[in-house]
Parts: sequence; structure tokens; C-alpha cells
Amino acid sequence: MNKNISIIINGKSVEALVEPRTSLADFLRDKQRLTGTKLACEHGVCGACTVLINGAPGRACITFAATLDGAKIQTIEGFENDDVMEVVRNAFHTEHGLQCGFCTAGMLITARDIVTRFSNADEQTIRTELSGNLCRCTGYMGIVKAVQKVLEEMPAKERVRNPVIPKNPTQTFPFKTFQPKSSTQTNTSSKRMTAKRVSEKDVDGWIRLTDRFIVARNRDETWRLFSDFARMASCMPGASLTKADGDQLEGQVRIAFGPIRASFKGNATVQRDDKNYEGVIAGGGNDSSSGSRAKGQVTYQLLGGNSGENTIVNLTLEFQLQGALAQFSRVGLIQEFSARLISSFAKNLSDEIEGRRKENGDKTELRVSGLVWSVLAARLKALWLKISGIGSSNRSRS
Amino acid sequence: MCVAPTRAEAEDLVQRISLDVDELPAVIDAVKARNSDSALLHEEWGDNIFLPTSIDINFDEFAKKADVVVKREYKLARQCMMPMEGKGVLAYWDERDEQLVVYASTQVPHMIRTGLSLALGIDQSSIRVVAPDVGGGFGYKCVLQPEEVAVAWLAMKRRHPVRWVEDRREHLVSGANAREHHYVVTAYADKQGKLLALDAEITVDVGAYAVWPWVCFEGPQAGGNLPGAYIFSGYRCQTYSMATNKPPLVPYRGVSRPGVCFAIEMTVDAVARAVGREPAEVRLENLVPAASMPYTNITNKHYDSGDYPSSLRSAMEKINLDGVRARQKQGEKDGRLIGVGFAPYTEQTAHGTKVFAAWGIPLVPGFEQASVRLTPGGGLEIRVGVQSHGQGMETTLAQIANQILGIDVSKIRVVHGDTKFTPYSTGTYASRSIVMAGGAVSKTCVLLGERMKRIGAHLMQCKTEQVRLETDKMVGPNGQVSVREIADVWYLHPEQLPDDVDPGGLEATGGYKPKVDTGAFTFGTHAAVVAVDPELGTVEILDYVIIEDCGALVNPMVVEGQTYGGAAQGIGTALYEEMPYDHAGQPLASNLADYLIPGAAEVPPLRIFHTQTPSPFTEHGIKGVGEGGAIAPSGAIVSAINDALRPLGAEVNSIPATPRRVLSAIEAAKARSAQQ
Amino acid sequence: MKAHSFTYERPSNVLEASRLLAEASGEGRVLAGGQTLGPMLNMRLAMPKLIVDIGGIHELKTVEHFVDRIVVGACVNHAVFEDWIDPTPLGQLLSRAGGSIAYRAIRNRGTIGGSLCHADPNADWVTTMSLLEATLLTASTKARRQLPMSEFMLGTYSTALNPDELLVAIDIPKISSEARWGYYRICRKVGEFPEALGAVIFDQPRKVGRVIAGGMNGRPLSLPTVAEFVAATGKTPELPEVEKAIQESEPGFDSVDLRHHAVAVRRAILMALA
Repeated sequence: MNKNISIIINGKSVEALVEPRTSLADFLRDKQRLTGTKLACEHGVCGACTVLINGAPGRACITFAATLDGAKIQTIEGFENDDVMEVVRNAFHTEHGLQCGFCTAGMLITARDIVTRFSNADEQTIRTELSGNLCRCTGYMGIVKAVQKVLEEMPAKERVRNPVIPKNPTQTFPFKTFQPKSSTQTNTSSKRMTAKRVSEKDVDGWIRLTDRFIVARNRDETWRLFSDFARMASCMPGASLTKADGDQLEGQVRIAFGPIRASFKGNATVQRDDKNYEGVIAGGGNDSSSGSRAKGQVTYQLLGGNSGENTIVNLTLEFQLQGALAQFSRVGLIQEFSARLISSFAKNLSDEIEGRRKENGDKTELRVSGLVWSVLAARLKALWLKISGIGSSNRSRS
Repeated sequence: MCVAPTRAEAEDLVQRISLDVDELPAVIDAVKARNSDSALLHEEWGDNIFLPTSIDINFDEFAKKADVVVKREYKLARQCMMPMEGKGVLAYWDERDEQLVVYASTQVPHMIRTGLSLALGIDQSSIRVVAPDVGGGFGYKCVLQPEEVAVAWLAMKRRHPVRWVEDRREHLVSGANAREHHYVVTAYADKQGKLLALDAEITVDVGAYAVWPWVCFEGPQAGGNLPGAYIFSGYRCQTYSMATNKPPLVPYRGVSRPGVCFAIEMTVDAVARAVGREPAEVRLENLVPAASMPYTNITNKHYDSGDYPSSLRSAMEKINLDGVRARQKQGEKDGRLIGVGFAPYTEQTAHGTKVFAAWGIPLVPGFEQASVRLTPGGGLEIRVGVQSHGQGMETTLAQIANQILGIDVSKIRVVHGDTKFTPYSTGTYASRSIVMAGGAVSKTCVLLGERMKRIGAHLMQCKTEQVRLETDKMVGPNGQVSVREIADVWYLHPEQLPDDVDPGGLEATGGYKPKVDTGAFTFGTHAAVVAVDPELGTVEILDYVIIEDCGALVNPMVVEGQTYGGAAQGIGTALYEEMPYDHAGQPLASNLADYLIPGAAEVPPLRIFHTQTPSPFTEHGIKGVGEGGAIAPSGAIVSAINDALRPLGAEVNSIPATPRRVLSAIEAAKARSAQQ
Repeated sequence: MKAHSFTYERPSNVLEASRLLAEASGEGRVLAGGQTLGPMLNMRLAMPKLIVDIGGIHELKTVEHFVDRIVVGACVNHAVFEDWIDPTPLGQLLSRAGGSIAYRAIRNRGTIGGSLCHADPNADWVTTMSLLEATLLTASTKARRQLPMSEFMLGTYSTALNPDELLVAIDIPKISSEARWGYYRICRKVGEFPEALGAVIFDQPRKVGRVIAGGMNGRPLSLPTVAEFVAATGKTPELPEVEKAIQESEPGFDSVDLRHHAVAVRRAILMALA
């Protein structure tokens, strides 16, 4: 469903019908023919698309036009009568602040922002402030010099509009030793999971995790669950079986990782060793929407506990991702996520075996803590209500 | 190909396609790919070697005289070139002209036309390639892109305009890659550290396929360039260009030289350490001395001119080597370790016909041409087939024309980047344009000047030889006549022309190639002072000095801009940039948070100093300068890092020198000393 | 890198937003400043059916000062903290943390609430709010909750928020004017996410001493034994001590990562004691 927006671009009112997914940059370039705004990374890092949004620099590539109803936009085409930009532009010219010119529109807008905030700045500050705009041609020398030139040659009162207050930690009081009271927010983590990062290390692309739990049932009883794939699958968060034909399984695994959703459809083969109470489910699947593939296996092994009434379950999850979802260096995050996945798999299995598990998920809407209204100051309570948009409505009475 | 009115809709289509792939084992490590048990990329080859080369020049004879032998292994990560503008192509079939029009983000419009003609099977005259403003190239855009062929084909098929613009993710995971070299170098030296012989094994990861037309020449080039600015008498080198499951390796700014410069500088450092001498002094004694110039080195490179030792000496002075050594003795309050490093380098620019022909590539550059025209208003139009995408050739070529013809640069227009208007050229790459196109403009302006003078002499009633060209005018013994009047006479009042006027008029095309076409050798020295945080392995560049000599400086500001930009990319190679792959062949950096390129805060203030040693072989003594800045930073910076780490006995030989690599080197050194 | 097609709503109040999210039954996503969600949409890593833009809810942009706390609306931008003119230790710390995030153009639009809800372990606010033991105020059509930061973030990209629940404000307890703090980020590059983060606070009058290691693979890690040592002695622990403390709570780091986390923590302590 397209959205009507009314925005002011470079001083002119524009009414437009936009598709929600259209970025401001695409809207400017394709619909408004304002091609001075460049797209170079489309994920907010390089700064080539920087424009002024309501007077402050913002990325046009990750801002959707639909969100800007009522906003004022200023693109590089809109600075013709801007006295500060004129000085900045001239400084870029005389100091050789551009070569291919592709980063220049964003660079000029950022440079102008710097000189309108800082009455003066040392070279390191200038470089830090410029760090959100990448240039591959100049080595930044001419750009830094251009900003320095403006700071030196244009009086601060003619350009500074939003002065920066210099801040340094002023730890004026001497440190006094004390005995800290224990934290009100204790680290409640039952289990923390870490894993190595990648980048320059030798990475084999596999993520391997193990878990181990004990159930108060004997080995044969426990093994029965591990022979019922539908029940077993129901314990794996996001997994479901569409078909189980002997040792051939078909199904899908849905993953929700923050805003990322993937649904791997595929099949798996089971290899069981009833004598040794061991099994391997190995398979693979595709997530067509992200163009990613996964393959992996779950290995399980049941060991008799001491009393014969307990069973120790050893679980291993191994998987490998390929495609868009795999192409990141922060593998540690995926490992931590997977560790939480296997630990809830283990918990669900153990609950299932011991008969504690409710049907159709047991997710309660309201969790722990919460709703301790009494400790809140009345004013805070009122503020919260106001922010929550409840105002004085009846529902606010708790 | 998924075609839709907008890119977003085309991506919607792509999402509906899924590939059913039978996975084969991936070949990811170029060195392991040489093993006989490696999986094969192109099974019909029987191995993974694209191209092996070997050189042996008096190796045994000199190696056996050595007192000192050092051996090291070096590695460069795979990099992406990352011009701010990625690839882009728009094509349509012009029904009126019966011509395929292709707008491309390219450094080499004429070469693209040739390539498209071959790939599409249509005559070159039916293709026009336009490259108006290009947002950076660095080598990425000096090859025929598969997308150019695909989009052009589709435009002919569909008979409507088709556009494709590369996005950053595509650039990172599937665009052309660069730099991934592996070296095993053994140096043989005497007790003073004088190099006698070098033995090298170089493995280059060239990806799955070669690119057109630069087929697989990086490995052999590395073998030829490894000696750099140094002299030694025995050389043995084996190179392997290996196929792996990665995007093709494309010549990136400096091509093999950032790798070889890094490898040779680390090796010279290792030799200096082995003989217990100041590395800078050992370098000085091994450089080609000025008195030997012109000098043909061991791999038959013809160094045309220059004083390499004095460039290094100047770097030692500007970086204050003595001061750094004194500071090192005192130690730093913050516990960091200071180090200084040097990297002298040579940059073969404008390699000519002979060089490329010897590499056996399908498209060999020859004479470069320029067309110049005095326009009816008295301005000058210069048309060249090279492409300017940040090199400022609109300025520098105009300056050269101004020097010959006296026409003010504000009246000179440089036309480039369109096959319709410009003479054939293989394009802009290999630091060739200012030498080749600059020479062509110079020669052609001389031709045009003669014709202008003939008209001027007639108008001033004097002999042609008596006419001098000055700013926008001609001066003779009896007066002067403006360039505009000359143009007026030719275009509007031909009745005033002399009878023997050249009917070719005020438009001329000329060609140029240097007398010796093995390349003009730019040279210089980079020097860095770094502080290494031994707790974190982080590196800060405290000072950076560049001594640069590209022959006659056409425009110092442009030369500095090229050099600074190259150095910033070299800092990326040395400290930041890396495209890692896992064992299954997944590229692990698909965004700019994973693939780090230096920002303003990562590049220190660079201090540049020029020397000018004109080439004896080129027009005006000009040498190229496009790549030099990117060649030496890894050598200088990592040399400085290792100088800083020396008290710990640690060495980094793999780049980028990330905190992890530096810290691991320190840990390894600790483990070694604990063992002893 | 163009976003998939989605439905877009811009409600004017929180309850309306909650209702829209409830109707989307898990397929909706809140857009605050969009500085993280925007890239993920462009890369098609996130493809929710519905985007609920809360940028038009002005109440979420308020900052209220109380005697003992500051309550910050979820949509307050990082740049607001960066530009904060507040000489107290808390003001300075918030200004330092907010001003460290990415680049100015991102800080102008990114929000504290968006950052906390995205729950990236390497985000500055995740560590800072853990350090300050902030309480997160949430609302949905069904209920309002207050969640301590330690219970809000469950792990990487994972929070205790229900699908129709919104973070509306962050309740930050004030610290004494005598409090000392330290904040140290280890970054490969200016503007990138820190790979390791150390954040400490020593508030003698309130008897609060806390040491947090951020940028872990999941939730920030509190190191109470280190905090007690520093508070009791006024001394900086040696690096191996800090490494040991981290390793005990979170084994599995290789030596380089462990070192980086320990150095970040130790340097934050040094800063607080300086």
C-alpha cells in the first residue's frame, strides 16, 4: 500500500505517492531527478548519500521516504544560496578535496555540519568527525585541509549554528574506597555461551555445540522419545515435521534471530543404533527468501545414569550455513544464538520426557518481574502513562 | 538475469529463484590447491594451476657464497578494490543509428567496445561505449565485465534500455578481488647484509576464472618485480597462479607490487636483523646506485633514471631516524612500543608494447593518439581515448597543451570517455595515461601549432619560423595576432588564408609512444613511525613520510592527490582490509562493518616531498604516478611494526597486521622464548 | 540491496502501535530511528510484513529529570545525549556513550530504545544501561511492565519483549556527583561497533561499584569481584586477574578475545581511578 507524503525538498513542497520500501535516496534520484545524492553502500556506513533531514545530516539510503511526511530535506542541489556551503565548496576546490567526486556530495554536507558545530577543532577531531564519510581517492588529505581552511578563514560567528560544548570527564572528587553493596540487577544468566570469532583465523564454517542433561527416566523410556521424531521435532524451537517415512524425514526449521527470519525447508535422514542408544539426524535445507542453505546434524547419545532410573543425554548440534545469512564475520553472535537454541532444545526434551511440557507452546505473555507499580513515584507513573499514550483513560488505573 | 522496472522488483524476482546445487568440495587455499590430492576446480586440467613460471639466473653460483641465509613466509589477504561507485552499465539499441549504446562505469571504453564486439559478434562500428563520469576505478574497471556483456545482450534482445548497477554487497561477495599472494622467500647475503641471491616461491590466488584481457599475469609480474629497487646477482623464482573457488583476481592499483614490496622489505629487515645492523643502512647498500643508471636489473627491467639511495636518505632524514632510535631507548610512558620502517620502491609506469606483448595478453597497447582541434571561438578541444576518473586529466592534459600552444587552460576542453568522439586507446590503467596520452597531446599540439603558425605568419607577413606562441596569441617580428583571429580566418574568412595552407586545417591527430617502451620507472621511499600497543596489538601510525619522484611534475597537486589516495589504500592493505573465506568457500565480509576500509581517522597526516628525475625516454620527462602511493605502505608500516616488536622477538609476516595477528605474533614469540 | 515490499503504518500513540503489532501476529517490526533496521531491510536480512514506525509518537522523545533518576523516552536520539550539557558524572557518561556510537549522521537518527531493543551485544547502550542498572519501561495494549536491564536482554538480538510490546522509556537511576566512571572501547576503526567494551562506575556515597565487560557474544558481563577489589583498595587489578575473572564467568574466549575484553575493562578502571 503506497503512502502519500508531503515533504519540502530544497525549499520546494513536494507531494508524492511512495512505496513504503523506497529509500529517500532512491526517491530523490529516481523520482525527483536529484542525482547529486549518491548511493555507495546502502547500509549507512559510507556516507555518500548524506543529506540534511530537518537540518541535521542523515543517511538517505536507510531512511525510507514514507517516514518523512512533513520533513524538510536539503540535498546537495539545495545549497546554492547557502553562505557556509559556498565557503566549504570553495575550500574543497582549492585544497583538492575531491578526485572522482562520488563521495563529494555527502562529504560537503558533513563538512558543512562540522563547521556549523565546531567553532574550532584540531586535526584529530576533524578526522573523527569525518569518519562517517568514506573516500577512496584522496586519502582525506585535501578534505581535512579544506575543513581546516574553513575553520581558520571563516569567522565562527558567521558559521556556527549549533555549538558543540567540549566535554571531558571531570573527575574532581578523589577516589574513596568503600564496600559496594551487592547489585540489584544480579547476573541471572543460567548459562553464558561464547565462541571464537573469525576474521583472519582459520574458519571451517561449521558451528558445533554440545549440551548434556539428565532426565529422571530410565534409558529405554527415554529412548522412546528419541524414536518419535514428531515429538522430538516439537522440542526443537521452530522445527516441524511435514513427513516422516521410516528414516527419511521432511520438514522445516524456522529461525528468528532478532529481525532476521529464515525458514529452511528440507529433508533429513536418521541413522539409529538401538543397541547403543545413539542416533544421528543429518540433513539440509534451503531458505529461499534469503537465498541461504543450511546443512547439519543432531547427534544424540543416551547413557544410563547411576541408579538406572536416570538417563544422561548428550546432544551435539553441528551446522553450516551458506549464502547471504552466512556471509558475516561476527560468527560469535550466531554461536551464542545457537547455544541458546540447543539449550532450549535440551530443556524441551527433558520436559517432554518427564511430562512437564504443555501442548502448543508454553509461552506466557507476561513474564517475571514487571508490574511493580508500587515502587514508582507518582510523577514517573504519570509520565509513563503519558508516554504509553494512555493518558487519563480508564485503562490506566492499575 | 531477472529483469524488472526497478531494482527492488528485480530483487523480488531473484528471491523466488532457488538453486538446487550438488555441492562439490571447495578449493579455498591457493597453496594447498597445489597439492596433488587437492580437489580440482577445472577437472579437465588435471591440476589447479592456471600458469606456472620459473626463472633461474645464476642462483646457485651466488647463493653458495652467502654467509647469512634467512627464510620467511609472507601472506597477503584477499582484498576488494572498493571504488566508491561500483560497476554500472546501461545499454540500449539506438534504432536510428543502428547502434548499441552502452554507458558503462569503466576505465577503458574502447577496450570494452572491442570486448563487446567479440562477445556479441557484432561489428565494433555498431557499438558505442560511453563512460562519462566514473566514480573511481583503481583497476576494478579496466576489464570487460560479465555484466557489460549480459546487459548489452539483453538490450539488443529486448530493444529497450536495460540498466544494472552493482551494490556494495555484490561488490564484496562477487566482485573482482585482488592482492592474495603467498611468498616463501630465502635471502642469501654476506656478513654485512649485502644481498647475493634470492630464492622465491610465489603463489597467487587468481580465483575461478581469468579476466579479459588481463589474463593471469599477476603471478609472473610478481616474479619479475620482486627484486624491486635492489641489486643482487643470483635469482631463482617459481610462481604459481592458482585456481580457487573465488571471484577472479583483477589488477588492483599497484597490481603485484604492493605484495612484492612487502615481501622484499620484510626480507631485507630479516637480513639486517641476522647481521645485526641498522635496517636502513642495509637497505642503502643494496639499492641500485645512481651512478649505475640507466640500469637493467636481474629480471631485465630497464630502470631509466633516478637516485634510489638518495631518496631513502632523504626519507631517513625527514622521518628523523636518529630521533626515533633515541626515543626507542627511552621507552614510552604509555607502555607502547615505537618502531620505524622504510620501503623504497619502483613503479614501472606506462609499460609499453614490448612488455605487454611478452606477457602474451590478447590486447597489446601501441601508439597512443590524441586529436586536437582549434575551435571556431579560439578555444582548444582535446580528444583522447583514455578515461579520467579522478586523475584530473582534464587539468593535466590541458596544461600540457597550454605549454605547447599557449592557449589558456580555461579555454581548453578535454573530451574523453566516449568511443564516438575519441581516438582508439586501450584506456586508463598501469599508470600510463599521463605518459601516453600526455605525450600524444604534446606531439599533436606541436603539429597543430605548426599549422597555426603558418596562418599566423601569413597574417603578420613574416616567416613561419619567426612566429612564437604565447598566451592566446602569436607574436611575430612585426606584431601579434590572437589565436581567435587564426580560428576566425580558418573557419569564417578562408579568403585570407595563405595559398600553401595545410588543408588539414586546425584539427590534427597525432600519435606517441616513448622511445624506449619498457616503461618509465617512477620511484620513491615511504617511511613510517608506528606505536604498537603490546597489550592489544593495535597499531597507530605516528608519522608518515613519502619521498616521491615521478619525473617532471605536471601538476604537483594532482600528483599529491594520487599519492595520498594510493597511500590510504596501502594503509588499508597493511592494517585493515581483508575478505576472509571459510572452508566451504563462503565469503565472510558482505558489508562495510566486516570489510574495513580506512576512514579519515585511520589515515594519518601524510608528509610528501618531491624530487624530480625526468625520464630520458618520455615526452617532457614525465613518468606515471597513479599506483605508486599504494605500493609501499605495507612494506613501510609492517617494517615499522616489526621494528617495534623487535625487543619482544616477534615478527608479523601476514597482512593486514590486525590486532589479532600482532598479538598472536607476540604470544608466539613468548612461547618460543619460554621453550628455550 | 533494496528492501522487500512491506506494509507501513505510522501510529500516533503507543497503544495503537501495540495493537498493530498484535494484529501482525509476530510478522511486525518496530521502526524507531531505523539505523539498524534500515540496513537489515536493505540487505533483506529482515523481511517483516509490517513496519510500525514509532517515529511519529512525540511522547517517546521526551527526557524527564527526577531527583533520583532520569527517564528517557525510547525514541531519544543518540545525538541528544552527545550534545547533553550536563556536568554531572551521569551526564558525562551518557554523553560519552551516546557520542561514541557510529557517526554523527547515524547519531542524529538512531535512538536509545531502538538500540536496546535490537540488543546487539556490541552496542554502547546495551553496556551502558547494564552498567547503570537501568529499568526499562514497556507497554502494550495488555500490560505495562518494568524490566531491569539484566532481564530485558536475553542474548544476542533477543529481548524479553513480547511481539506486541514496546519499549517506551528507560529509567536511569542517578549517580552521585562524587561518582567516578570509566568507559573504554576497543574498536578496529572509528565509528565501528566496539569489539570489546569496558564500563565501570564507583559511586562511594551510594556504595555502588560496578564493572561491566561489554561486546561479549551475548549479554554484558558483570564482574562483581573485580568491582569489589577496586572499590575496597582503590587499585587497578593486574591484567591476568581481570582475564581470570572474565574467563570464570564466560569460558570459551580464545586468548586474543579474552585479552581484548580484559584490557577494555582494566583501562576503564584506570580511567575511573585517574
